[in-house]
This record gives sequence, C-alpha cells and structure tokens, in this order.
Amino acid sequence: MKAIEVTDLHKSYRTAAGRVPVFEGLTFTVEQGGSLALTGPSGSGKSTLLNILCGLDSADAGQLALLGEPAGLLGPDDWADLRRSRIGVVFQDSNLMPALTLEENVRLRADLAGQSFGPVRDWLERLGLQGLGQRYPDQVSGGQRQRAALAMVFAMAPDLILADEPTGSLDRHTASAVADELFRWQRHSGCTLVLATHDLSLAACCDQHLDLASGA
Amino acid sequence: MLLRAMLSHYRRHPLQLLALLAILTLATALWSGVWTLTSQARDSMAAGDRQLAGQQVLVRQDGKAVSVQDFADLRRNGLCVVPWLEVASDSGGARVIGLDPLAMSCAEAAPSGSGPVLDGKPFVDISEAARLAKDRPSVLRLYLATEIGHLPEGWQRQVDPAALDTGELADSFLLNLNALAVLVVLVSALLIRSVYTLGLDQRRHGLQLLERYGVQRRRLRRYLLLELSILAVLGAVPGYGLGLLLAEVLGSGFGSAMANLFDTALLATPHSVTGFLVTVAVMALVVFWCGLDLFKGGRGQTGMVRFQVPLALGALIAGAVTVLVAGSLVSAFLATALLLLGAGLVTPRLLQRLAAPHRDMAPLRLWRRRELGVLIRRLALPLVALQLAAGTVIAVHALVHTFEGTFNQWLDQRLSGDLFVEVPDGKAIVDVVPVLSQRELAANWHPVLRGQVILAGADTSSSLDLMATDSRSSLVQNWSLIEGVNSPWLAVGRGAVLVNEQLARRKGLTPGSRLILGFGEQTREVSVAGIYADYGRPAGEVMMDVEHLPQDFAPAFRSLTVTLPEGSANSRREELLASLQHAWQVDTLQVRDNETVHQLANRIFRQTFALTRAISYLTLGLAAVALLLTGWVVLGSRQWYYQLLVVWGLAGKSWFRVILTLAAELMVSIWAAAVPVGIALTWVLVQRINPLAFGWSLPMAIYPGFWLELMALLALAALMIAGAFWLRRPATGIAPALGNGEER
Amino acid sequence: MKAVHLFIGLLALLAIAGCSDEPSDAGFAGLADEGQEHGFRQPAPGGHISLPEDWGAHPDYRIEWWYLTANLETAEGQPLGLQWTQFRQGLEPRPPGAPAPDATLWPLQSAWMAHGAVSFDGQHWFDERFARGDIGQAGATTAPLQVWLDHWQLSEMAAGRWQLSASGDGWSYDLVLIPGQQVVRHGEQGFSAKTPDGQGSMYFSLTDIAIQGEVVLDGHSYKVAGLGWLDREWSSQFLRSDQRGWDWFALRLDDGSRLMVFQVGDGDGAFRSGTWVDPQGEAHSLGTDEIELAALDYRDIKPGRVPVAWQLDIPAMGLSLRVSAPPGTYWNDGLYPYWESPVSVSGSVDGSGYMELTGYGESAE
Repeated sequence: MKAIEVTDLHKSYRTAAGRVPVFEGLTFTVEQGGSLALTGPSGSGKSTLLNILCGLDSADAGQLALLGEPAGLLGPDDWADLRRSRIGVVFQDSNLMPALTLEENVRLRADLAGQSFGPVRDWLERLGLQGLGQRYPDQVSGGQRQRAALAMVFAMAPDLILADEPTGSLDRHTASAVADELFRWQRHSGCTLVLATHDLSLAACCDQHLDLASGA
Repeated sequence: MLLRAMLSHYRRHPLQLLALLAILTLATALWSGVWTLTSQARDSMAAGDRQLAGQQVLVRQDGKAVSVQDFADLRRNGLCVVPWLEVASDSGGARVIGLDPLAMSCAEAAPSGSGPVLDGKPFVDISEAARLAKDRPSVLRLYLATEIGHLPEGWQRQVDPAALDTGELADSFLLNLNALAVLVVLVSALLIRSVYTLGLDQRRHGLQLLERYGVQRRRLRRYLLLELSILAVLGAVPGYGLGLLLAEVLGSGFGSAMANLFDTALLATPHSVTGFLVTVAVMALVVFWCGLDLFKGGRGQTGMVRFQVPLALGALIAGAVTVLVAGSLVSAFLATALLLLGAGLVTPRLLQRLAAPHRDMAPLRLWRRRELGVLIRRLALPLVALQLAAGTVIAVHALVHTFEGTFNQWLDQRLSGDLFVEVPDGKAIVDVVPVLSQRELAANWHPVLRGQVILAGADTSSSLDLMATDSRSSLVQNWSLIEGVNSPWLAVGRGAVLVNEQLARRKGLTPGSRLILGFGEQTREVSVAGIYADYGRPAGEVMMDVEHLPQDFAPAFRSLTVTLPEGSANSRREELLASLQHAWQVDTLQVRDNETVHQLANRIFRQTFALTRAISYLTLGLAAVALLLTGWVVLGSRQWYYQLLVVWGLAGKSWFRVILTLAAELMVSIWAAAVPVGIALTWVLVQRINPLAFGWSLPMAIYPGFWLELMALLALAALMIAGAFWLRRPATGIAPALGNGEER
Repeated sequence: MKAVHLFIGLLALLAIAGCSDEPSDAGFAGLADEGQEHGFRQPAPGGHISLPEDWGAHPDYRIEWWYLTANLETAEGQPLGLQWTQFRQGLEPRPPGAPAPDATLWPLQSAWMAHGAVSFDGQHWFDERFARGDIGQAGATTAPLQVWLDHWQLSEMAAGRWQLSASGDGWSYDLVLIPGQQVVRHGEQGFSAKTPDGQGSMYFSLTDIAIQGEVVLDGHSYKVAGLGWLDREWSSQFLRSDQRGWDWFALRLDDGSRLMVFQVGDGDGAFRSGTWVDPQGEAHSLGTDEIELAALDYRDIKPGRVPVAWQLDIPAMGLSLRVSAPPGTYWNDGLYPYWESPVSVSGSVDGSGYMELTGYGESAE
C-alpha cells in the first residue's frame, strides 16, 4: 500500500517579482513503512513540500493521496484530524512548548493524538532522557530537546512522520545519535518517514531519495 | 551606519514604534492635560486670593443684609469698601459676580489692578448682576479694600467666610485631581517602560550581534539612550499639545464646577513654562527609568525583585495603618499610594500563584494555565497598570454613584414640597397664612428663612448660615439625620438646633453639644439635637425652629415650601399663586418648582464629577490600549508555539477557542486583581479622603453591576486579541521565524 | 497703569450698560475726545442760568463740573495752590422731572469723577476718585448745596458759608469757604461758545471766594487763607476731534479786575473766548479776535512738553500780561492726565490765578 502518492504536483509563490515556481510536475510515491529523503539547497521547496504533505499548505495543481486518502477530499478539519493522530511533524528546533516540562510536552502530544500517556516516561527513558522529565526545554541541551521532540512523535504512534531537518541544529555526534533513534523507531513501528535534510549521509539512510534541486 | 543597524528593528516592527510613540503621546497628553488644568485652577484661585488679599468683609452688627445704601454710607465715611454682588447660577450658566469698577478704583490691590476684569462672565458690571438678581438668589458683600483703624458704629469686620472655607476645600479638590494626575503618571510610566523594555528584549539578539562585531557596549548604550530620548521628544511634543487641547475641552465643565463649588472662576491663564517643564521632567524621569536597564545590563525584563513579596506586604501594611490614622489629606493620599504600590507589587506574584495548574490537569488545560503564567510574568507592568487604572475607575464610579444616590435621596428630603415661593421684600408671611390654610389650595406648607448667625467660639467668632423652618411640618420631619438625640424634632421645637455635617466635623459637635449663637447684640446658648447631611457645599449651617428666632432677626431670604393637594391640576397651582399675589398685593412672585431645582442641583453635581470621571476613564483607556499593544507584541513572540498547536492537529475552531480562553483568562485575572483594589480604594475615598477633603462622608456602597460591565469590556479586549491572532495566523504553513524560542 | 485698566473697565462698563453705540474713545467730562450726544440736551444761546437750581446736577446734559481752584498763602506767607473738581458724565440722559433709577439696581446712568490736588513749594499732590451716580456714593444737590463723592465734599454749612474737605495719599484739606454774592455769567448770559459754529456750554463762576482752613501735607499741617475761583459748567459736547485740547486761565488781577480766558485748539484755528470783569464788577465778554495768546516758554516734563509761560494780551482792555507757572511739575496724573497749576501774572498789571492745560503729554498724541 502506498503511504504517499504524488502526481504532477505544481506549486509556485507569488512574489513582488511575479510568480516563482517551486516545483512543476513533481511525481513520486512512498510505500507504507518506507522512508524518503528530500534534499536540495535552501529554497528548493523541501519545507513547502512537507507543509503540503501535512495539509498546512496546498498545491496549485496535481494529485496527492496520503495514507490512502485522496487529498482533494480532505477538508481542513480532516487534515487537522490526520495531523493530530496520524502524522507526526518534527522541526529542526522549537518542537516543545517552553512553558511545559519535557514530560508534560510528551503527555500533551500523546493526549491530542488520543493515546494514553502511560508510556510517556518509557519514551523519555528509551530516548535517554531518564530523570529529565521534570525539566523545562530551556533547562536541557539541544540534543535532549530533539530527543524529547522524537519522544512526542513516537508517543502519538503516527502512521507518517514528517521531519524537517530534525538534526540540523545539532553537532555531528548528537545528530547521528538522534537520527539513529529516528530510523530505529521508524523501522520498528513500520511507519512511513519523509525526511528533509542537507545531510547526504542522513539521506543515504533512507530507502528513497528525492533531490528537489534537480527538479525531478 | 550603526544607527541604521540599530533602527532596523523598528523598520521590521513599525507597529512597535508606533505603539511606543502612541503610548508616549497619550500618556503625555493625559498628564500634561490634568496638570495644566489643576495649575490653571490654582492660579485662578491664587489670583482670586490676591484680588481680595487682606480684604475683609464688613457686616452689620445687627445681622441684617448689607444694602446699596450701606455701601454709599461707608464710602461717604471714607472707607474704601467695594461691592461684590454674587448671583446664583441659573439654568445653564455659572454664577455671576457683579463688580463696580468705578468703586474699585480706591483700592490699590483692587481687582481693577489685575487686568480687564469685566470681560464677561463670571465678572460683569454690578448693574448687570443686579438685573439678574431680580429673579435669582443673590448676596451682596462689601469688602474692605484698605486697612483702617476703626470702623463706623454698627459695623464689624468678618474674615470672608467663603474665602476661609473654600480655600481649603478647593485645595482639597485640586489635591484630589493632582493625586489622580500622579496616578496617571505612574500608570503611564509603567506602560511606557513595559512597551519599551519589551522592544528592547526583542532586539537583544541584534544588539549582541553588533557587540560581537566590535561595537563597544558603552557606545551601544549611548545610542540606545539617544534613541529613547528622541522617541520621548517625538512622543511628548504632540502629547503636550494634545494635553493643552484636553485641558481646554475639559476646562469649561471644570470651570463651572469650580465656580459652583468654590467661588473661584477658572481664569484663562496663559500656558506657563513650568507646565511644559514639568512635562519634560516627568518624561525625563520615565526615560531614565527605562534606560536604567541598559546600564544595569540586565535582561530588561519586567522581572521580579527578590524581595518583592515582603516589600509588597510591608507597603500594604504600612499603607493600611496610615490610612486608618491619617489626619490630613496628604497623608491619606500617601497611604493610598502605599496601598496601590503594595497591590501592584504583589499582584503578578499572586496571579501567577493562582494560575499555577495542578499536575493532573488535562494536558491542554495545563498548557493554557502555564502559558497564562508566562503572560502574567511578561506582561506584569502593563497588567499592574491596567489593574490600578481599572481599580481607580471602579472606585471613582462607586464614589460618584454613591454620591449621586445619596445626593438625590437627600435632595428629595430637602426639597419635599412642590413649589418654593419666595416671600417678596417687605411682605409678611402672616398675610398669606389664610390662603395657605385652605386645604384645596395647599396640602401642607412651611416657611424657610435664611440668614446669618454668629457662632461664638473660644478663640474666634465665625459667621454661619442659619436656616429656620417649622419643625412640626411633616415636610421636614422625614429628613433622615446622621445622628440625633431621641425625638430630635421635638427638641428642635423646644429650642434646640440641628447642625450640618460640615459644621459638626469642623467643631467636633455631637448630639447634646452646646453652642453659643449670636444674633446681632443678643447671644443665646442652644443644644445640638442632631446632625444632618448637607452635601455639595462647604459652609457650616445651623437649623432651628422659626418660633425660636429672635423677634428682630432679619432674614436675608424667606420662602415658603408648599405641597399642592393630591392630584391637583396645574390650574390649582395657578390659583394658589394668584391668591398669594392677591394677599401680598404684588404683581409677580418668584416661584420655583421642585423639578427645576432638582435639575439644577443635578447639573451642578454632574459638572463637579465629570472631570474625575473623565480622567479615570481616559487612564483606563490608556492602560487598556497599552495592554493590547504589549499583549500583541508578547503574544506575537509566542506565535510559533500557538501555531505548533495547529501542527499538532488542533482544528481552526478549537484553536481559536484555546487562544480566546487564554486571552480571556488573562483579562479575568486583571479584572479579579482590579476589583479588590477598587473596593479598597472606594472605602478610602468615601470614608477617609472625602471627610478630610470635603467635610462630609458618604455611605460605603459597591456596584457589582459595574464590575460586570468592566469585565465585559475586558472580555471584549480578549476577543480582540484572539481575533487579531486569528487574522494574523499564517495562511499556509508554519511561520518559520522564531523569537525567543526557548523561553518559558 | 491703574488708570489704563480702569479706563478699560470703564469702557467695558459702558458697553455693558447698553451704550454700545458709545464711541470707544469717549473721554470723561470733556477731558478727552469727542462723542455723540444722542438724547442729551444741548446748551444753546439764549439759555438761562437760574440759581440756586443750577448748582445742582443736570442729568439731561451729558457733562458737567464743579471746579474750584484757589491761590492761598500759609501763615508764613508761602503760596499754596489747591484744586477740587467734581465731574459728572451722563451715560444715559434723564429728562428733568424723571425719577432717579432704583439705587438697589446699581444703575449706571452716570459716572462721577473727583480730582483733588495741592501745589506747594514746587511739589504737587494729586488724587482722583470715581463713582457711579444715583446710588448715593456721589451726587450734587442744591438746598442745601452739597457736591460729594465718597468723603470728599463741598457742603453748605449755613447760608453763605461752605465747607470743603478732601484727602488723598499724603495730603488733605479742610476749608471754610465764603462764596460771596458776585456770580459771573460767561458768554451770552451764561452760554459760553466753544466753537465758531455755536456749540458751547452753560458756564458761570464765583471769582472771589474767601477761603481759610487747614491743609496737611505729608504730616505737616498748614493754616492757609486766600481766594478761590469756582467754575460751574455743563454741556453735552466733548471737544471736537480736530481740536487739540484747551488752555484755560482764571486770573485775579491786582487792580481788582478778573479775567477768564480759554482757547480751544491752537494756532490759527484756535477758538478763543473770555470774560473780563472790570473792577466795578461788570462782566465783558471777549471774542476770539479780542484775545491774543501765545506760549512763551515750555517745560519738558515726563509726559511731554508743556507751555508754562504765556503772553496774554487783550488790547481792547489795555492788558498785556505775562502768565507763568512756578517751578515744578503740576501734572494731574490720573485717568485723563492734564496740567493744573497756580500762576503768577506780571506785565501791565500783576496778579495771580490758575492755569489748566489739556491735550499735552503722550495721551494727546
């Protein structure tokens, strides 16, 4: 079964200098449980594509089917439902509510996804954050914050993870540790992963690779 | 170049610049406006004092009202006396004061020396005033304009009763306004500082970058201070102009209030340099306060002092104790300031404590409460400003409302009766008793005589207003007394007197006290049977039964209060008046009906409080605008996180509900913090400051209905904030820009 | 400065009194510029003076005054000049017989002004007072004669015996006056023309009033005695605006004759008039052609340049007189300032008297 089916997708932005195309005729598919790396220089449309894939942005033309649902039939509330329980999004930074502790953040995300928050502490421990659950985001390191962000996504048990440079602000060592966690979990849970990154070694860990710079 | 780099912040956030300028302008307008008004009033009163400096009123020893003939006689005796004919205000206008510029020429310090005084109301030529006095109450006074050794037979000096009492009273009135102005300054300083530090905080990264590029920190600070000063000037100059405009707009109402209350006309004095200097000085202080953070190198946050809570409690306790024992208006205001300071210091902490969630709350609710805590901390200054402003508005509203209610009730008692008929000069009341005894013409009636009486005291004698009426009349017996002996009206019927609250407070009189009253040559010792409320004027008054007036007492004013028979038509009223005219053999009668007098009294009353009300509402408006602006900036800096909720699957409506609830909780917190401040302030105003300032107290009353109105207003503000956020949310995607992302 | 303010006050007063058609620069009792005379009676040739009625006020005329000047001597023989004047200016005419307005209404039908001055030893003391009429503060009655404003008053104590008292800052006088019988009616039976086209005033004088009494100056009391000259004049016209002011002389000559001369305006356009009372008491009117008057010497004083010495010739009467003021500044610095000084006369005959000069100084510009 295909988790993502993109056919002839067009997207452009209106700027003062006229319309700037981001992609024209983008076509690809990702199988359920597969992983796709999006690469390309800044401005090539990685984030835009991720936004379209979670319903926060829309394409100008073309077809998109997500988790077996044709996007054309999805209203804003349907998209919101998808994001709440089935699509997990990880950004490069600031994935946590600063006013909540790490544990409370995970609990909030799990709660929104309709998951019981019993295993919250487990998730934190499994991601090496034992004893840090009562800390606030600004009381832990950047790597720990990204681990907590992963814990939040894992806790919601999603079918699809969209990750936008999840290790972009981390040092190489921490980055690879965080990426390892992500891939391990993805394979273990069988969810689909779309990963936007500049890091080609990270991209190489994915099943598929889409270079947006080539306009493929 | 450096300047450009520094100013780029405002290029990116023009709204913030605009907000800062707007707050600066509005705040300057408000405080310079109030300052201008009060200083104008002070100047006017000082001018009035100068005009009559060292001048005393000459009164007849026999207590009779002075006449034109008396004036001419005194002048022919070589005394430089000047006439002052004061005519009560009629519908619409203020009081009119008639002067004789020709007669004033003998006095070196006469009003003629202080400029063209007869350029219109309230000062007009005395013939004009005399013409108006034909159908309005008036009083003629003769001021002794030069000092002389001995007075002619039959005359005595009296320090101008109006000047003596109203001087202090007017001072109190202005002190009230000045206290309000100080509050405005404080509130607006809080606001300016909060808006400024917020902006500064946002620029911290950019400034650190500049520092990293090698710009000296000292230089950077100098530039920031320069920028702040320029902003202050840019905001303050139009603000000052606006303030003068405000003073002008409020001035006319204020002028009538002054004239009605204190015999002081608000003269159009030229705008003084000091007014501008004060504005500049206040602005400099505020700038200094804002700039303080720059030099502390602190976070420029509205952070809390370590000893904030003990400090707050200390201020609250000291304020409470002082307000209880305060013997002067200044100490009462100081105590109030301490109370407000304490409240302001303790409120953010207290609210945060209250907002703190339970651990086991539903996660989203928990988040909202935590977020509320953050907002309360980051908006502490504008929040406290809004709290104090709202508290003041609550208190002023309660004061005005209580006064209005009490005043109306009192007026109803005082003015029981349908018609007030002035007894024509030279006519006797006895002549119309047969007319008034006819049941079909008058259901009830009683005479009211007014005049002056001397209160003999241990040190000085002073002149009091005297009112005499028929204590058996059912029309007066329903007056409610503040204090009284058993059956006070019976006691009055037997020769005791009632005194008004002002006199009782001033002389420390209680029921049972004894007074020595002088009627011309004759003195009489009387006991006080009770104390009645007498609002809106400063003069002491004694009330007694007409039966006990000395035979030769010459009242300055006599009238009859008449109740018409139940359901009687207008024709009956005309019939009664015709019968009275016939009995007195006069062509016209001075008649006022109940409604007219009520309207007049109410208008004077409204004028008196219009200004206080206006200022407190303007302050509230200013604080609300500032909170909206700073709230907008603070919430804007948290937009990423609110948008995260959308990414996490909160649909549009649910998201809006969450933001709206958050904003509403913030507003309700402010409201909840303002209500106790309002209640406390009401009590202080009504029970402590009013008696000290005006000589009478009011019953304490609270108006929860108004609190609800205020809450509705704040709810509207919450709706506006949430609505603005709804509109501001990115149409697509998630805003990439992050502010202080890692802040709690 | 006070005077200026008062003047403004007075103008405001006029406006308030409903006389808004009043010219804004109206003067007081002929001391300033012209005015209109609506409703006021006009003196005309053929007018008649009847006494004692005409000692009293004339509410149907616009302006009038009682004007006493006296050349006295102290017990030590030092000359002392003295002035007392009371002016009335009507703001609204009141026909004869009409009732006075109600005093309790502080009416403003007329305004009164009184001037008092003493000139002694080169010094000059002056004060003025103002009052509105009809309220008792100021007025003039005939039987018995009484003219008063505040405590300054001229009053008849007994038949042929008057008392005058006034006081001001640093001066006061209390005098007994024996007016005598001789009344000089100027012009045509009392109608004294002031312009060539027949406008004028009713004017009579007592030229030889025996005076004695006490004058107190800066705390020193002086017994004084001498002769006074009282002018009584009423009219409804101010000076025309093309007339500069007036110069007035009242002289008592040692040959027993008396001379009153005035000129309105100056130079060729001046209008002159006068009365010569011969030693036998016979009055002779003098016209413009019969009077030669020229300033001989000027004195620069603070307000301006004032002619203090004059050559006065009446060729028909054989009079060639030099009239001059003693050293000093005799400036009545009131609301309407003017010069008022005693003068000494030399020439064909010696004498003494008084000189009034208006229209000099800054306010005349």
